[in-house]
Amino acid sequence: MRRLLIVAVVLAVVSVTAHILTVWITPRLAMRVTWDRITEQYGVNNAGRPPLPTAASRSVAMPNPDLLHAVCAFDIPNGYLRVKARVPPGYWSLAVYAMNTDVLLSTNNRVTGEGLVEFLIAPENVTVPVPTTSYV
Amino acid sequence: MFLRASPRLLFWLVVILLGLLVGAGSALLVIRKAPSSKEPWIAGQPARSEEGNSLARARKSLCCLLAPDHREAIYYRVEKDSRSRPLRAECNYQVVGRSPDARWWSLTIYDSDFFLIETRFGRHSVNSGNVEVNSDGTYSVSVGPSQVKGAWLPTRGEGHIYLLLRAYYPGTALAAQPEGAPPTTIRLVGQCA
Repeated sequence: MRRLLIVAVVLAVVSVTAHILTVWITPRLAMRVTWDRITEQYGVNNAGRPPLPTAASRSVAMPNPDLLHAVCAFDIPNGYLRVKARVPPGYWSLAVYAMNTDVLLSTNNRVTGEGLVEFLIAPENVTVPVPTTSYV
Repeated sequence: MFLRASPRLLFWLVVILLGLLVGAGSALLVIRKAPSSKEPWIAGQPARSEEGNSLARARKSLCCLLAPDHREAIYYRVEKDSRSRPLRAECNYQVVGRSPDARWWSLTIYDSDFFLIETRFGRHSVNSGNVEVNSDGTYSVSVGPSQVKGAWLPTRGEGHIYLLLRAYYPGTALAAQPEGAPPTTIRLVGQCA
């Protein structure tokens, strides 16, 4: 009886631990796979413009076949990233993601307007030369 | 020789392995299961870490990795018809709804693996720019293997399918309460095994 109880406790502890770890690791693993696919194709700190997804596309689950995207996998522990783009009229958005899939920053044409836009993306510990007219 | 010498060790290895399988398996079941909400439309999970949690992140990573912030776009994943039966590729459906309060929206169909369905038509979605809105403000989209005139999202083969409604630039009320999206009905058309 005592042995059965010990087995049950060990089974429960291992199961709960594995459950929590699986939930924790799933988004990080998904992002890592996506990172690898993006960097394999476009490199690090370099923007890529993938074509509209088709049935053969496997980069990201549930791809959006209606909107054009540009992607950039960046790694800037001691520097900052400058993103410059001439955005089209109408709707566009820019989002920055952490490796655990969280959205760190999200902005769109409502904030910046149209034409030439420039973003400086930096970790908190890095000082960047931000023009006084910028949106921070 | 090792196994014969350590039956006790082997026993505990089996117990631990079983525990790992049960734990990982139950986690994957929970992650893949959509959160219960207003059926059949299910609002997407918050994107920001302070509003989400580990489970929300895990679910989002499977269905909507690199999706915008929920204030930027709201996603509604659909996996059942209006009678709570799983959507299937071999069945035909009629989707009728009202446009959500958003600047632009789209309705996209996905295979059971969450990727676009390979058909000879190369059509995977309809959006607010190309779907016809009826005089009563509703839109109607056919889904299934049988070719239909008008807005039609073709499927192929068998198995589960998913629909994803994306509402970009949602109005203030919808952004604050995604569950308040206009009701949508998904009706099975004809017989389906």
